[in-house]
Amino acid sequence: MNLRLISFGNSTIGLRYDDGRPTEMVDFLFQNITGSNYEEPWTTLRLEDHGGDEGFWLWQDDTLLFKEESFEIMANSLMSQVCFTLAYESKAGLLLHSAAVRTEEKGILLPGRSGAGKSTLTAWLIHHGFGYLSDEMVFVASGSDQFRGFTRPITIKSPARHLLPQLLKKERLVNGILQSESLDMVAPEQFGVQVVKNLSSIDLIIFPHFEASQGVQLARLSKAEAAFELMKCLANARNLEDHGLSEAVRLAKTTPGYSLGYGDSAQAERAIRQLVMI
Amino acid sequence: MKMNLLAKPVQKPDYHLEMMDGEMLLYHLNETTILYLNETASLIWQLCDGRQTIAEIITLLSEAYPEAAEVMAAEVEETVQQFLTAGCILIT
Repeated sequence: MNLRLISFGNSTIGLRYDDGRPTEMVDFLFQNITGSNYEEPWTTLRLEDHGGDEGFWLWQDDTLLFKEESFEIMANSLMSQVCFTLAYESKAGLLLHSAAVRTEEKGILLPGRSGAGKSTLTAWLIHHGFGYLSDEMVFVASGSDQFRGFTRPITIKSPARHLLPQLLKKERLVNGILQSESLDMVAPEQFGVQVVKNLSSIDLIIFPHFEASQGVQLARLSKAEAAFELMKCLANARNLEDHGLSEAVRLAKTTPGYSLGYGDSAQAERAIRQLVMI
Repeated sequence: MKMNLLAKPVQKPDYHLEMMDGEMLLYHLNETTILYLNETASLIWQLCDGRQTIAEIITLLSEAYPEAAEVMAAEVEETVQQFLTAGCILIT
């Protein structure tokens, strides 16, 4: 069985997987994510392919988590489980539910909980020239003014699929796109984009919230409002001294924060580009 | 429900405060709840010391901000009610 270490946010897990389809799945999901050779994994996930009706089995240590026939659904479940498991033991910094992109000059956090439109907006932005860091989670080490993104494939849920028709009319795993009924997972390289695996500066924090048929509503947040919003997006608060409050406050004090309501990704892009110019 | 303006609100202990430009984050370490308070709500929180009645808080803030005096009573009552709902004050 193969073993891959996956590290993020001072948390390392092991992932064991069979040859064949599990290897194809793991290579697709984690091609841009490295593991630390210096940290012991605190737990190990194991992906088995039993074929036929039995399909894929995903274990965490000795516990069977999921059985699933569908390659695409298991790929999504595996990615979700890896994110959850990394966050569970993440420490010494803020692990945020946040997308992240950057221009040449500026790194931009896009924090938001599920449904805020992070992934769709990220896909739009990188399709239009922004560098890609993550569509789901970022880590800011304590005391640092830089962050790292979890550079997974971009996950577009079916309600937003119509926004990217030219990109998603591809077959399964052809050209790095994995399609299922409920979502599409797209390798960021598909957008012809630069994947930023290094640390990036934190220059803007923009909290997006998608609402169909609304125009762009951009508002500068006070420091307290930004810190409050950051706390709502924190995924590892239980592992942090004072539940991460002092670090969220530090970040909000040093980085301008904005609320961005939008119903159209092109309008949101224009608003973000204006902020980048400031 | 009509609020008793002679009641004296008092902060519960164990809240961690972060003041930023007059606004405040109020965080309870054990209950892992967090509240954002704008400038007015921050002032009201600081006046919830168990010595002053709600009516006295309204008077103090109306004198300090005469341009907002007309709406101050409603704002104080609403904010105190929010504090009660969040569980961060007691009424004595």
